[in-house]
Amino acid sequence: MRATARVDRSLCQGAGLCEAMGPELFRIDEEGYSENSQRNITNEEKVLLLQDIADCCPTGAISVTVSEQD
Amino acid sequence: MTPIEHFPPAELFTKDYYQNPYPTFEWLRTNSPVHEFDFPVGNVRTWMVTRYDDVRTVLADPRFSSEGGTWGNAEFREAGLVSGSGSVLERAITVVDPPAHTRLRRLAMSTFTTRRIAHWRDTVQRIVENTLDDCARRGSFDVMDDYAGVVSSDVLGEILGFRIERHRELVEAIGQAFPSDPGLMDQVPEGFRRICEYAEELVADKRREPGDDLTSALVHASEDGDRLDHEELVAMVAAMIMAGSDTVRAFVGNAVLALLDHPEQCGLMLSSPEYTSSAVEELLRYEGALSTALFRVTTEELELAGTVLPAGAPVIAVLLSANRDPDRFTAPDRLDITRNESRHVGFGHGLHNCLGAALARLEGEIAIPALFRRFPDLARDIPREEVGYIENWAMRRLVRLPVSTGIPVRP
Ligand code: HEM
Ligand code: SF4
Repeated sequence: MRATARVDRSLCQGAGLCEAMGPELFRIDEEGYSENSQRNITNEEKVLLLQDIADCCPTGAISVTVSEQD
Repeated sequence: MTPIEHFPPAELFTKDYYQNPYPTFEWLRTNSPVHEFDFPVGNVRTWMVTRYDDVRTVLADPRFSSEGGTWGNAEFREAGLVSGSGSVLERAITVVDPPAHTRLRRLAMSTFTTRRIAHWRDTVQRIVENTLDDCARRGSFDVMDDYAGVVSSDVLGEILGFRIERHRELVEAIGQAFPSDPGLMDQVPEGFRRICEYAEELVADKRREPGDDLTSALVHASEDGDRLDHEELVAMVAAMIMAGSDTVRAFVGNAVLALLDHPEQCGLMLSSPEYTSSAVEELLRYEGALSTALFRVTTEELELAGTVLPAGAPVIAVLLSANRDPDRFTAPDRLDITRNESRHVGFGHGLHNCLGAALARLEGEIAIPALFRRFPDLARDIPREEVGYIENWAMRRLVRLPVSTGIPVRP
């Protein structure tokens, strides 16, 4: 399993929930918006966390795509 | 040489402070950014955090917990400062940490779908227009009670699916839970109790007869896979009632006052609709609805901006102050709807940031410009110095804001 998260910067309101829930996955940049740097996440626990974070984001700015092949 | 000022201009939580806390915040940011003081209830030793960066740290760092009942020291718990203690609200989304928080948040957020929010736009527009018709008939009215208050509670009532005959009582209960008059503080628990009771009844109603409303969606979501138990569901609905009504009322009131004080900014907002959303963000920064976030407590001893906090220490993050921090915002005391700077923290930050932000923004973007569009000559009916704020440490709300439309009323 392999997951990639994208942040739509036009939707992101810089609420910082993503960074608070997963500091190793998301970072708020100088302007106050989320930049996510991680792609191709394969650790299963992290993939689940990524989905949790996407579900909790107040603006729905995070989309996660998961592909089954390695 | 000017003498060093050892005390803030207005002592915390006094009359002068409530009417204008900004000089005190400025003093605190400069002289005591993590400020120790005795919280008036129970004289509990508390720390107040006023700089933008530190406020964000408190709201995002997991060592600052929202679970006062679990991590707060004995003094804090014994003074009764644990929010919702002894009721279903003990487990409400606002006062739990992950993993419990993640579960509640995911579930609640799943009901704020794009389709549902689009539908709310029509609801808000209709309620705003009806309320404006009413205000036009009066000619003179109170922005707080007759406009902001009506719009915010009608919208929430309709979105949650309240029966009309229950609605008035709910407004009353909300008034009890968030009084304007400090003399009525003893009624607050009764207000909370009534809100929980309505939430309970609403959940039962929607279980029997689901509708196209948020409560039904929450009931449905809770039956789907990851279940919420009955108490969690009631707590969630009660939390929405408490978090989503008086806040919007306060915000719309503050925004209307700010625009009456800055007619050129108001004119710009009306003539250039592309500024509507940045105007709402700026108004949230300039004077949002919550002075502070809810209590956080430290889970261990730690250092914040050079101050050591013991484990279990209650901490108050001051949102109004962070939003006026000159290290983050140029000329922070100026209202500028074209501002394009750091994110304000009017909706909080991190894990617990406002869940209803999309709805709150929608209400602000519709209700604020609509008032000035309908009544271009809107004017205050009382002198500026008589406009006052309620004496509440967490909520920043005007007591009243009487205005006239300037349009003759037909008999
Ligand atoms: C202008 C209006 C509003 C303002 C200024 C506002 C502000 C805030 C702030 C600052 C917080 C974070 C508190 C903390 O961290 O301790 C918060 C949380 C929350 N707000 Fe709002 N709010 C508004 C409107 C609404 C509306 C309309 C709703 C719901 C319908 C709502 C529901 C909530 C909920 C459920 C939380 C708790 C979220 C969590 O703990 O994860 N709010 N709000
Ligand atoms: S949680 Fe969503 S809105 Fe908040 S910073 Fe992350 S992506 Fe942006």
